[in-house]
Amino acid sequence: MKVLAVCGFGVGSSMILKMTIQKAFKELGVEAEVVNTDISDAGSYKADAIFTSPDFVSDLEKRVKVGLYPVKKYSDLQEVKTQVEKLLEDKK
Amino acid sequence: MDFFMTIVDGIILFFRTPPFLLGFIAIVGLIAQKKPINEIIRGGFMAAFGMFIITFGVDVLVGSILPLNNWAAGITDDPDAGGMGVEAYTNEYGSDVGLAMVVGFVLHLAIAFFTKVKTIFLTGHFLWWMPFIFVAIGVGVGMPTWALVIWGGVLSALYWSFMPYLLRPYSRAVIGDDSFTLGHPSAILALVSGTIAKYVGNTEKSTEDLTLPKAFSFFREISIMGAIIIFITYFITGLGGGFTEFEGYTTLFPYALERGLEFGVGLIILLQGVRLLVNEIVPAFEGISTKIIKGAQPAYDAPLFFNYKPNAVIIGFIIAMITSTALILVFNAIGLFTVMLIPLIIPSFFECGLASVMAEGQGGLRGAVIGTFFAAIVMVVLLGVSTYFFRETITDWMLIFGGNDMSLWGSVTGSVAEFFEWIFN
Repeated sequence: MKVLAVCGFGVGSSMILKMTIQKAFKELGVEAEVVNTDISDAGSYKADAIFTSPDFVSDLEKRVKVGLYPVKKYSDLQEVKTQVEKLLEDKK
Repeated sequence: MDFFMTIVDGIILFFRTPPFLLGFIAIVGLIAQKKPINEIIRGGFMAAFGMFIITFGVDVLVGSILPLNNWAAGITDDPDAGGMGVEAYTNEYGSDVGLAMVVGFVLHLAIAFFTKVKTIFLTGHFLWWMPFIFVAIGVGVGMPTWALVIWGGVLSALYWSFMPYLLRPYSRAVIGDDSFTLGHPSAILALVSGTIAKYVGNTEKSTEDLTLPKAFSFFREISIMGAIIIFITYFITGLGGGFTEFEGYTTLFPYALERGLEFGVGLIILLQGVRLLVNEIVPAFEGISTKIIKGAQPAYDAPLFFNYKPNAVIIGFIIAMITSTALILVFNAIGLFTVMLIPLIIPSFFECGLASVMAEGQGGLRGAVIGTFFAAIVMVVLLGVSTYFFRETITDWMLIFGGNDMSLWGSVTGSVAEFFEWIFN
């Protein structure tokens, strides 16, 4: 599975989000590749899902076809894990 | 013995090439994390690619504003307005910055281990840019290599530990707990706006109660905003008679538009490079610090706070862009600083956006508006003052990314360094 972590600049915040997503997948025992990028670039990647802030979801909705999973607190493992579980449920 | 010295010299020369050194640092970090061999090799290459790309990115980025600087230099009659420039600086001193980063991070961990200041700075690009600016100050006063590494490392460590620590009350007011604090050079502007907002604000009315027009979300596409604003800057300067030659074009419009695009392109390239570099280095730093330091509080990038008050970010950006541009026009017109300032797109968004979020936490909508207005003024003044201290090195880079803690601490440490240089000479 390939997952995108997206923030405005694609450098600092999405990096934090990426590390939390990786931890969540590891705890759930699922293999996943996580890549971080910025909002302008998000549409050009092939991915199974995009994790980003609630505010960016409405921007991305029109541009991408994959599932969008909003996360408010990028460093919060519990919140990210809930969304990863939702993603795994949706993919079944 | 000669043979031995040749090898030592060879090794030193090897690591004086920034991509080699940063690739090596990434490899050491990946080995420390006990990663498999294929990931270690991959990570080493990615970090080296990243460092290489950063050099190209800054070259394009500062190249896009160079004609503006040259024009201003003609006016002020100062041929050294740009100094050596960021590209030559990165190539020549990039390895010293890399070493200062490693030395600084070790000291930063020591501070967290031995004192009550348990912040761990995890905003990857500023693990690079802080030693980058401190080393530039050292270069400005002619320090030798070993002194550059120690000077850059010690100052970066102090910055990474104490500035986020100072911001804890403001961070808490925004995110509601102590799970992280701010690790971003907007700290001084957040202190200014937050303190003002506390006294003049009113927390009953929040920025987040407003419904902003959907189109405003466009402001967050920074490379596009940057291209538009640099285009407008060139166009207006050209109409005012700033340029008479348009390299390859006969008219102003396409020339100005191309400079705007060049700025956006430089930013995109730079970000790609930074992303590759920090992707390999931050996880290692994070892994090491969580293992060694108990009860550490991470310090994160400014946009992690943006999610809590997205409206405040947009409002702050608009206020800062207008206020700072107006002030820049005035300062340029009266020739207050020896270099011409250009509109501060990136700091207006990230630094003042964050200042607005922190001010909102202290004093609601009114606090955010008034606080950010003053933060934007401080931003321009800090930038202008700091161009003096970076005059021989990276003024061109500061004109795009300064006006924040990098300008503040660059000026403070620059004053100290120049004072001692004056005594000893």
